[in-house]
Amino acid sequence: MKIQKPLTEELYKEQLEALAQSDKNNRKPEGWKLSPKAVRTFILGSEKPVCGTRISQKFYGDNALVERAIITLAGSRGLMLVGEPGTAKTMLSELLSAAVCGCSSNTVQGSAGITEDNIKYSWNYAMLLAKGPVKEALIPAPLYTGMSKGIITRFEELTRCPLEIQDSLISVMSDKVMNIPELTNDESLLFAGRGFNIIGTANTRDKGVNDMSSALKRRFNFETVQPVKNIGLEAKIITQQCTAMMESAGIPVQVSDDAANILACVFNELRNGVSSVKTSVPKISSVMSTAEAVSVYYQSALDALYYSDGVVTMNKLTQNLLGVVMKENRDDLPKLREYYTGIVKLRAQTQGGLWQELYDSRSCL
Amino acid sequence: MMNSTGSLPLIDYSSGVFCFPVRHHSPACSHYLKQAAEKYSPDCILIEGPENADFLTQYLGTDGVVPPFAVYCGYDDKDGDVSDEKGRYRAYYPMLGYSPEYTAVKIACRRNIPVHFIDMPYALALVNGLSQSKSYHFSEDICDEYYRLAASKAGTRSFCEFWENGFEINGLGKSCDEFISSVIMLGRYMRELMPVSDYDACREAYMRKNIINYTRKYRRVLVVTGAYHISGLLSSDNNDLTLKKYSSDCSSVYLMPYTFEEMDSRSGYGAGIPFPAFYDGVYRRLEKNEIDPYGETVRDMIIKTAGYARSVRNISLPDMIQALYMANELAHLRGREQPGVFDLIDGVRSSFVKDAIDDTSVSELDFLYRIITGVKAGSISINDDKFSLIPPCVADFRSQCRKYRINIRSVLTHNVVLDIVKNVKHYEKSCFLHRMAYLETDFCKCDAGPDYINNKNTSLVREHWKVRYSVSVETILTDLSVFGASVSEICLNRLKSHFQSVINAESAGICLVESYVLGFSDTAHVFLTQISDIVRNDCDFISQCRFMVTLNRLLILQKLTLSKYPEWILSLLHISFCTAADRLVDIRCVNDDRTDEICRGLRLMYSVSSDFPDICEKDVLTKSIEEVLDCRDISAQIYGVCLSLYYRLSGINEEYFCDTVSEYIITAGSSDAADFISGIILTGRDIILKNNRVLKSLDEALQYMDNEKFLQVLPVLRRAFTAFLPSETMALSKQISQLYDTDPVQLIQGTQYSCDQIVSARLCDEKIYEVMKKWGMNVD
Repeated sequence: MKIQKPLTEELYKEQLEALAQSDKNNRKPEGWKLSPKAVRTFILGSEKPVCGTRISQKFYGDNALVERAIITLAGSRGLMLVGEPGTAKTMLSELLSAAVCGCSSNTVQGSAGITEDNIKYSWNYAMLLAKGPVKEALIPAPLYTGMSKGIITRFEELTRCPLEIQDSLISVMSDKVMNIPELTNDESLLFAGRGFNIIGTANTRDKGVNDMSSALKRRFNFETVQPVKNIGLEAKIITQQCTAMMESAGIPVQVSDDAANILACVFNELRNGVSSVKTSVPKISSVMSTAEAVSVYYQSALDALYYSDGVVTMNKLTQNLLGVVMKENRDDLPKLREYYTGIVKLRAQTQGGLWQELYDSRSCL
Repeated sequence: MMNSTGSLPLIDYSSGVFCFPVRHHSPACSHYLKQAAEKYSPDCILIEGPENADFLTQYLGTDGVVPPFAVYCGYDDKDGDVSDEKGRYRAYYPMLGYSPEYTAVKIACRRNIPVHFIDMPYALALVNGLSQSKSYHFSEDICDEYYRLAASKAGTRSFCEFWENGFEINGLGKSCDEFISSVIMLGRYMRELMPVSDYDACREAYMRKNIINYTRKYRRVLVVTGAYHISGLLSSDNNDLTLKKYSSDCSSVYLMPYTFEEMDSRSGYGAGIPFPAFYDGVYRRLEKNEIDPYGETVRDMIIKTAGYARSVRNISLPDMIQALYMANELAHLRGREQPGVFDLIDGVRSSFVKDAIDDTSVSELDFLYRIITGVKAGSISINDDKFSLIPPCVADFRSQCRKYRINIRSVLTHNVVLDIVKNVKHYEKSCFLHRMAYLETDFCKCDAGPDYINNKNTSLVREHWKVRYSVSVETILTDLSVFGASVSEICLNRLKSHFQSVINAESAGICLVESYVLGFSDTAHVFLTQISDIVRNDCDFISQCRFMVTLNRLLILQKLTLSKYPEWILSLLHISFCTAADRLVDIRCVNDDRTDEICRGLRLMYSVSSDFPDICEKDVLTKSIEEVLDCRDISAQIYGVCLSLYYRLSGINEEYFCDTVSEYIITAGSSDAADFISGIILTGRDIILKNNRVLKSLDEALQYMDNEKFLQVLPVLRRAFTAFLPSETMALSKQISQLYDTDPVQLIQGTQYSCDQIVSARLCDEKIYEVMKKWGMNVD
């Protein structure tokens, strides 16, 4: 069976191996598979091939943020990635985990209904009844796994978890030890192996739902992942990610650079409330992230493939854009109409081409 | 120095000229400049500075000049040599304690050898059309494209980070020759990518010519210039320049203190490198030959930031350790031998900030930026009879501060309370502070006291000032030095231009008050003819009235200090009074928002004519009012005012006045009657108190009114009657009580009921309610 979304370490296995091979003489933190320099190269890419393998750039934006994240993980504090939804926090945490310990799947998905069992450990009750509280009856959860194997534990959407669950991380992060009172003797304490650390993610839209305690905050270094500000770069990301998704899904649709540029421009302007010529644009309150832009293009491409001639038209982009804008707030619809009758119309008059096509598609709104 | 093949340049210490390449304000360049000077042992040092400021070089290395400071060059284009605009131009050549140029000066002082500026004077560039910038800040040569490419290739955020990484930090591990070679190569690459502008070509030719001249005089000449110019200085291009000369009378050169804040390239001036305080710390450690100058500075800055940030959030020792760890490890990851300022920023950002960073400011980072930018200010304290090293207006400011005992040795804010009426010295000090505030120097701020210009709190006799000296005060004064030689002269020149822009009597009045507040009331008469003409030609009655109000206030103020009225104010008052009286007939039928102000103006005219009967003759006012009263179309309120003033000016007797008022109130419409009464009350409320006929007429008029009309006029009447004092209200109530045979106290206070009366009334009410309910009547 073909996997829909392979693990990062599987997807970039070749690159990771090449980096590991060239990285033998570099200083590595204990428990790490690659040195911090190689981790950086893996995420930010390299112009020159490494051991004959081209290392592609996987994260676009703030290079210094990636460097800070790497150094944080090499130290004693956890890494907390915060930012607007769709700013590639999860992707960055996967890349970091894959490069540091070769495992990006040791993950806790935070939610309102999460319990301590889901993050630390639970029990095989049949064995528990048969043998009593023995180590064989213990079912490790991601935190336990991370500590015992000395690998990264990823904690997605940490601020969606109840406060008592969040705070159960405090002792683990400060003492690097997990107490298992059910077990006896030496087994009652699980000491974290070298290389263990936690990467948490939280989106700023959830701020205030379950705000982290200052005690837990102190155990993390915070890094804010900002949306991509450069329209050209955002267009490049849309093109690259859509191409990769289509290749993975076996869809024979070529990504149009011009359409990606227009989509990037529309998303950038609606997100920031400012046009590229610094005029005011109605700001959309819904999440207008790059990930949403990729999704809009991908949906449009699928629509075009299955219901028309396979060409992604501006009409289809507008239809899918409408879905994104209306997702959270119906009040954003008039703003989108205003954007079309203002900025898009102006560009249609001055630049024509796809902008004219986009303007003509306003009847969908 | 450089071979023709383009390979690494050779350093030749035996040559007659040794060009040392610098990036302005680079601690590493300063550090290696010292070593190079030791090796080369020059007889003379030449610096890339304006040649017309060469006389200042003898003072720069002395104790009287403390960096940061700037060489200020001003040019007043009186003759229109630069452009028809005939503007004023300024150029700044700033120096920090670790600027290579300043280090060169210090080296020359220590070795007791001459040091000279060799660059083209800014004035020369201006008159020859090479530069037209009105405010020029000498800085790094702008090679944006090269900067962008270099930063991008090196994977750094900016060219500053690229420079810090390659030259400031890792450069310290190089030998002196290696460092010089790498800086020369950088300059060469910049030059290859960015074509040399005409201005730079001329500057280089000018410097070449000067270098040749000095080599004739000295055997070993050390030239300290930007790396970008090295190739140009060593080229054999033609040095002959045909340049138009500039007038030295229009040019001025001074030394001015500067601040780290102004030096920070992020401040917008682009005059230096970012974060001067950080590099200052590094350079001080370099001078002490400490092993880890950057690491130590980073540690100090983290401690300082934590200290300040604790006022906002608890920064613990582990946070500080984490920040230092981050900075050190980031430096290692980025290939630096020691952590730099960008690693420091990243370390603090990661370890101290415990939330999402959005577009708004983050206090922890703000504290850090403030610390690494610094607040240090330079100072200039040299006295030389031969040359004026600081602008005369700055010298005047200092002497005034000494005279009034204002402490300018401290940058702390201190409060000053001045009794401007009783104490002459306080008044003079107040004038000085007002002048400094007028020039927008940020030296002082009046927190409380009379505001004569806006006519607020004019009854106050004390002023409360907050005074704070900072170097920027002198910087602003230096900037203004092209407008005058002393603080008062600059103020007077600015005031003159204000007077020249005056267009009506009202704005002329404001200018006069300004001149009084600034202590120039004696000199205001200089503009007497001009103001007289403006006042005479101003047809706006309200503007004239406002002008008279201003003059009236000025007269009172002058009386307080001089105990006599200045003639020129009386003369202006006469002109304004007569002009306003002439215009009176034109405004008789105004019935809009301006009516109230016109009425108050009329009252003012009467008051002025009573106070100054010789200047503002009552006959003039009486005649004008007669004209108004003769007109048919006149607004009710103005008519009321004029009628009562006419009665006061003895134009009519009491009987006639009361008859007219009664007749008007009864015959006019309700609205007009109300307006008329408010006019009468404004200027003649004593008449109402004296004779109850007016009240009777009003009462009669009100009886004929229906409810709707009464509600319309009620607000006007209420407002009109608020003019009465409590005792007058009591007198009025007596009159009304006589009319209706009631108790005057009850009339004012209304009927009062005791608690028992209210309780029994409620009980009664409830009983009635129950009975009605019992009878089956609809009680809801």
